[in-house]
Amino acid sequence: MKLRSETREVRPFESGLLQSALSGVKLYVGNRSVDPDGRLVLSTQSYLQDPITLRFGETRAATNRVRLAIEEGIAESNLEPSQVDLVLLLTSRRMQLSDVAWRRPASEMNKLGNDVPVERSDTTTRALASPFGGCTGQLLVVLNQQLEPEPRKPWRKGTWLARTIFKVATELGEIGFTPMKLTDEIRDRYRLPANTLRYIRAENVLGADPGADSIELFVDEEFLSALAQAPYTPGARTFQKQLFLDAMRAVLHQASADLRCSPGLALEDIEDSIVWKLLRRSIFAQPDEAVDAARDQMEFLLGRLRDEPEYVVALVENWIPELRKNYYAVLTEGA
Amino acid sequence: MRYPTVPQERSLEVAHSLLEETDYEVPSTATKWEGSGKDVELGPVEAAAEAILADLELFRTSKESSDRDRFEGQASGALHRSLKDLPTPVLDDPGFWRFLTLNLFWDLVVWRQDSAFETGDPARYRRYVDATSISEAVIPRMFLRAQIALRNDDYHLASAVRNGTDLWRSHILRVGTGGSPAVAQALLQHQEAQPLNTDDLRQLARRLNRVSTNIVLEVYDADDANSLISELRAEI
Repeated sequence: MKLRSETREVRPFESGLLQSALSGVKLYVGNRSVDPDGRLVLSTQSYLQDPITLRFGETRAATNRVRLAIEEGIAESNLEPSQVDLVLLLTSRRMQLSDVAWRRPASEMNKLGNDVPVERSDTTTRALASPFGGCTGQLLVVLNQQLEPEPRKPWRKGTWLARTIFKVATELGEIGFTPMKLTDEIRDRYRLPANTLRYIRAENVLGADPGADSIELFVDEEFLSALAQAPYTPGARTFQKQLFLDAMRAVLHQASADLRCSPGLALEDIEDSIVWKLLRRSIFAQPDEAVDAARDQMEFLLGRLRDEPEYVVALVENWIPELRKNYYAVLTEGA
Repeated sequence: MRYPTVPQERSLEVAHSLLEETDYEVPSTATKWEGSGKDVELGPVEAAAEAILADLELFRTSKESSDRDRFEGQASGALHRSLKDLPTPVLDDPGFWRFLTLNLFWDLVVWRQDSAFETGDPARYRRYVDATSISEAVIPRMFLRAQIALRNDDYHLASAVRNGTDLWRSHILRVGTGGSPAVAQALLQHQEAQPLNTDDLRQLARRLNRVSTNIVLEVYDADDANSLISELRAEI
């Protein structure tokens, strides 16, 4: 058995009250909203042009409840409202842009309306001008000044006390892969022998870039035509699922190699990558489940992935729908 | 705005021809125009490419020629200056970077990653051409590097660290430290003034990554960032 020790940063400062206060806030782009820790896919035009709004509450009473919870959460953290800001950070990781799009001292929370418009500009909302990479919005409660260090109390400037994340993307940024024809020309290009029937190339699997072509799956052109003509036979269904598993295996092995080359990479560094999504899926995290709730399990899996990628491949196989039934049908009934 | 791109499926074919055929010119059919309205003004980046390639010829025969990363850093300022006023959606499009790579900067890209290109294996050189990851492909990563290093209209920090490939690639671009230019700049400044060896630098980067899970580095100004990096370096 291999023993490993690793230093982990703990978060002693999180406030349940503050976190729950943020859980009711929504981000609107035009008339479409994204819930905390949710994801919204928009048309490119909407992504680039529609007005941005933070909605703290549907009613005055709801907004007041958020305000009160924030005030109580700040007190619970032994801080003054003047020491804390609410910040909306918009990030395009692909373009390495992070802008404070909106910021208010907590001491001015009583001026907060239900809806807070966030003005688009060339300097504060650049991530929402990056349709290929998508945008991650974070609404944070942040310590706005450096304090004297004290145990169990946030003291370092910039420490966040609560956070909620909104993902906004366009159809340009959706990750997917479509099997491509493995022709003789492609075989020549990649120096593959004549009887190679499939070839998978996986790159940038840990990056948050859109990666529409992070995975290239080439399948013999005759097979692909046959698949297109009769996609719903037991054999075709099984073959498609096997192709998916093959592609994911390539992704996970590439990820394992990359992780070993960059031992400093942590879960936060690979957020929104295809591997991050696979890990999340493999622990059956629900779309509306808070990111932090799944973090420990995902971190564990990330460690396993580094050392033993086939373990994660096995977990992926576990969630491919009806794979057992499909295999069984092919083995007992033929294709 | 209308701007030129090279589709991903054409880029490797064009790259292959550029490598194999001495007099090959990228055909106009490889270019696909995206967007609508007025055409993007390519004059500044064409001029920048010409100047950068001329500088490259001089650099290749200079005493410093083994530090290719240094040239990448030095040239990144001129590249950034020529492109920084373009609309962000254009700069966000990998097809635009493929166009620039294949049409204007090919010799630079091949020189910078020659070990990958010399194999002739697309699997090895693809990442430097197709801009799937703009932090890996040579030309967009140069743009990002200058964007992160730019301070008071000065690009000095883009080339301040000698042999900085690992620092830029592993500790800034890949991990998104560039989203907080003040912190990235402090990291570079300290490394320029008092270089850490590779292991210590990795330790520092790991500590910074850990801190960044709790701290919103984007709200840091230059003084905050300088204090943080000093503190983390003192712990090593």
